[in-house]
Amino acid sequence: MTNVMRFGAMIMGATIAGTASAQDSDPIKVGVLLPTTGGCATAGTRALEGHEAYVARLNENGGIDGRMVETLHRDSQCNPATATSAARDLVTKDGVDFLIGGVSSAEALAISEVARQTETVYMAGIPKTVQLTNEENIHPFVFRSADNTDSEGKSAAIIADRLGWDKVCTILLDYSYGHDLGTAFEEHLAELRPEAEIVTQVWPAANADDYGSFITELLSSDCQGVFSGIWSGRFPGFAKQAGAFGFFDRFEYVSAGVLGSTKFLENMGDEMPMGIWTNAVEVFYYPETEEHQEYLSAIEAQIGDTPDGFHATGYIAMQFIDEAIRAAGSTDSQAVSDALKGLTIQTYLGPLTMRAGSQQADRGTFWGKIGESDIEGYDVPIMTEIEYISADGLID
Amino acid sequence: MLSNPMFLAMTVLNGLSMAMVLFIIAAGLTLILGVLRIINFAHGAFFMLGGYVAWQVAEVWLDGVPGALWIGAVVSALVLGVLALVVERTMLKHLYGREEHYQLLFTFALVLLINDAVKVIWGTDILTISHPDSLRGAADLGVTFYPKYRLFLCAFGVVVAVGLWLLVEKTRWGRLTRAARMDREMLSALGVHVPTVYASVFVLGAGLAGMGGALAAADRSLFPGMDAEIIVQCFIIVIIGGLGSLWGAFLGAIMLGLLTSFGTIFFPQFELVLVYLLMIGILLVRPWGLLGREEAT
Amino acid sequence: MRVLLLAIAALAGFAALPFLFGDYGIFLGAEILIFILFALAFNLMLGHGGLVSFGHAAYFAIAAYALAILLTTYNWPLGLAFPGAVLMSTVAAVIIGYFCVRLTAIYFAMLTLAFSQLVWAIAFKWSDVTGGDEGFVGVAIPDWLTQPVSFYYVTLVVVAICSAMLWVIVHSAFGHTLRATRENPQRAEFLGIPVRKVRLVTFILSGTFTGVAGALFTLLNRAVFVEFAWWTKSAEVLIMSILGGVGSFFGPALGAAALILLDRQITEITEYWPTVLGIILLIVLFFLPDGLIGLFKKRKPDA
Repeated sequence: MTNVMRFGAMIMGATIAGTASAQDSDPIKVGVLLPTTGGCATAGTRALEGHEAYVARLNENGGIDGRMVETLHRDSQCNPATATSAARDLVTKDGVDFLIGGVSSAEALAISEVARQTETVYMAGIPKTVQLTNEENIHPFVFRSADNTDSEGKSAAIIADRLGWDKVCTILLDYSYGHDLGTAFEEHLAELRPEAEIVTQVWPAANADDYGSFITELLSSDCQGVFSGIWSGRFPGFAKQAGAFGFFDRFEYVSAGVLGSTKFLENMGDEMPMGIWTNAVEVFYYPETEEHQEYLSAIEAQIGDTPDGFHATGYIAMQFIDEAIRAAGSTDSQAVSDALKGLTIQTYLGPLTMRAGSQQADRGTFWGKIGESDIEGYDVPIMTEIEYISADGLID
Repeated sequence: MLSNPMFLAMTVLNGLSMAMVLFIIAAGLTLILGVLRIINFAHGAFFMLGGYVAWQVAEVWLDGVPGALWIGAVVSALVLGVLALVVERTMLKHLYGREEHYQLLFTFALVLLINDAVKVIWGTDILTISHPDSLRGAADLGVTFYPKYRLFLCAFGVVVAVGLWLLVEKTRWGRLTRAARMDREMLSALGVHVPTVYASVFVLGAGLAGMGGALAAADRSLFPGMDAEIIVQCFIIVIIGGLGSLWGAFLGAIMLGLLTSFGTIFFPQFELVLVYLLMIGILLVRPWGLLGREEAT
Repeated sequence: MRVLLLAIAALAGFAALPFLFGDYGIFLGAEILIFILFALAFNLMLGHGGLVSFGHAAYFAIAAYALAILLTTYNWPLGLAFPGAVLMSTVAAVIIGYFCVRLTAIYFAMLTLAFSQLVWAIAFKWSDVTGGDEGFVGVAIPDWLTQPVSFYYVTLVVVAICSAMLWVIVHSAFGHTLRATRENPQRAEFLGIPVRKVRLVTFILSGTFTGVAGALFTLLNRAVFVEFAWWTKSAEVLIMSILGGVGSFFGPALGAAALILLDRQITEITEYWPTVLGIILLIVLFFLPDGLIGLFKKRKPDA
């Protein structure tokens, strides 16, 4: 299509979009704002595939009440300004009924702002910042299907307590994710284990790739366990640098940041330190339930491979929207918003409920200990002693 | 902590090893800046591409072969060198006469294209290259133990510095580049084909960035957007040291490395700000850098 | 005269946008207007002054943050907060400019970059005040501005007035003096022109108008993010100016509009927008040396 034709179509589309009421056979449009370039692209591209897998299956089975779902994706580039203008365009020009996406906290807050102003339901599938749904920023149209830093940090504290840590160190990245994790971890550890003491805390810059001085500081400390917020994007460098110092033989290590993701472990291979505790959004080998099989087959159909943890984030976000529309019987934002509150869906991790008050799903993550694979034909480190730690009791 | 000699030694070595990695990359940038007077924003992208190429060689094609990383580093340097040559011959040379901002725009365009090329070829996964088997673990240095690979990086950085110094001071090519830095018109008048000198410097600079990327990748991660993070550090080093000065870049890298490694211990909250204050300080007090040639600024 | 007619036509075009394109047109138009102002202010230094600044994101961000904070944390009325925010950018430009104009060429560029990154670092770390990496959302804008339409026309008026002011500056005796310093600083000095002072004044003017753009951006988004202060924002406005044509007054304005529209269109069609944008930049570099505006006018000796 030439640009002139596109322009003309745009004019027509825009004039119609402002006044049209959706007809029963018109597609339901979902705007997806996920980064496919830049630092967040790893998560963004996977989440997009997961979303598309869900939509493909949904449309195959007749859509929602006979209406097909159409995905409009925009690369938010992990930049909140881009996310803002793209979200606005999706609503004002393309007339989307719903917004999904965001990876970084800033993106999520930016999209939420647009959602608030345009009264469009926004489902955040990945961002974990507690700011998104806190008292100051919550509004009727923002929901989160992901877990948040509270549940992640507190789950880590549960593990630390079980491991019997009395002297604890932390290494957390110096930005909101690291700080929020740290706060949640500290608070919960103090509740579970009052005798525990955090003796050393180091804060590498969010974009640091040389961890030498931080490793040195920890080595000079007398803690037995280290709680870490070095997430998957930054972990390989840290693993190699620290490993060379014998770090993982010296300390027990509990890490947030989903280092248990299958694709991440496949790429790490032998470089992955054994015996560390970490979490994952989803792993194909656990649990063996019907819902999980259904999920795996949907992903297989879409990408021809087993999923990485981030695929599930896109899948579940869309699933919530789908089931809320059915429950509401309409795509009207207010109706769907009401339907979402308290909605329970069946997923690969069991039932998942979107809480009415905090508009946040009671989503936890799977925690496990990195070890040798016992799966035939899969010679990649896996999470052993795996369990799902629910967010119940850990979040408001 | 630092009263303990072991941790003091570690902190010093942390700063030096970080410095040497940065130096290998920044050396190319300072050469390009000094001779061609181009602010090569694509330098980070060269570094990134070098890392990914090395991954392809060391982790895919030659997986398990001893010395795969070294081969990968050489291949990276060559690939980047060839790329730089092609880019320079077909496009960059037409821009030499134009104002600086046009050359800048060109390097921005390169950044965009290289980023997408990397994404198309290697996707958005987070990749990693292992330490070579010969350099795994830590060495016992008496006062402390320290990772072998990082010690290698320190030593190699010095080797690169000395090698480049010999190249620039003792060879005819080096004389030509130094002359081109000082007075390109005179050089041309003397019958030297200046664009060829430029091309060779650009190729060398890119090759160094690529090799730096390969060697750094073995100690770090490879991920989309990694180029944006290294370029600012490179500029800081080049400014501190002086445009075009190799030993300046060496010194600048060491200053940045030590400031960072000690800074994170003493001023953990302000380390980010300190680095930029240092850059500002140098530019205010001695803009041509610590070892740069005093020139009209 | 022709210029005046074109300007009126452009103004009319922008004024009609809400009626033609609804909300979409309003937000897109507002964003384009804001970056037109940013680019025109930036080009005062680049095209007319011959000064390449890598640090203009600083003035954009400072005013943006200042307005957000004054309105939301301190509950100032807009009438005070807006000038207050712009004033902060002016002050920053005075301080930073004072140091920067003592250098030239690449050193000037690097120092502007260093100061700009310092601003970014402060905005990033001072999260209690600025929101840090999560940004500052939920800016308390006054009720009468919550309607997109009213905000749009306010933006249009502000940008039009500022653009007119910049036009006057560029075509005044000061503008001629400025261009003399760009052409040949030594000769200008010999002619008795205080080059450094002229550059400082230019710096301050440029920074101030950039601040206006930043403040408007806060009102548009009702949010400020630390990315506004990162050096790539400075690169964006540089690209806009060169794309449009630095040698003419309106070039950067055209470049701003073109880049934003292109960006939107390209990102809709493909995820490989960096490649498309990169190729467009190369085409402009090699085939349109005067920028896009070169398509519309024959080469004039001086703008």
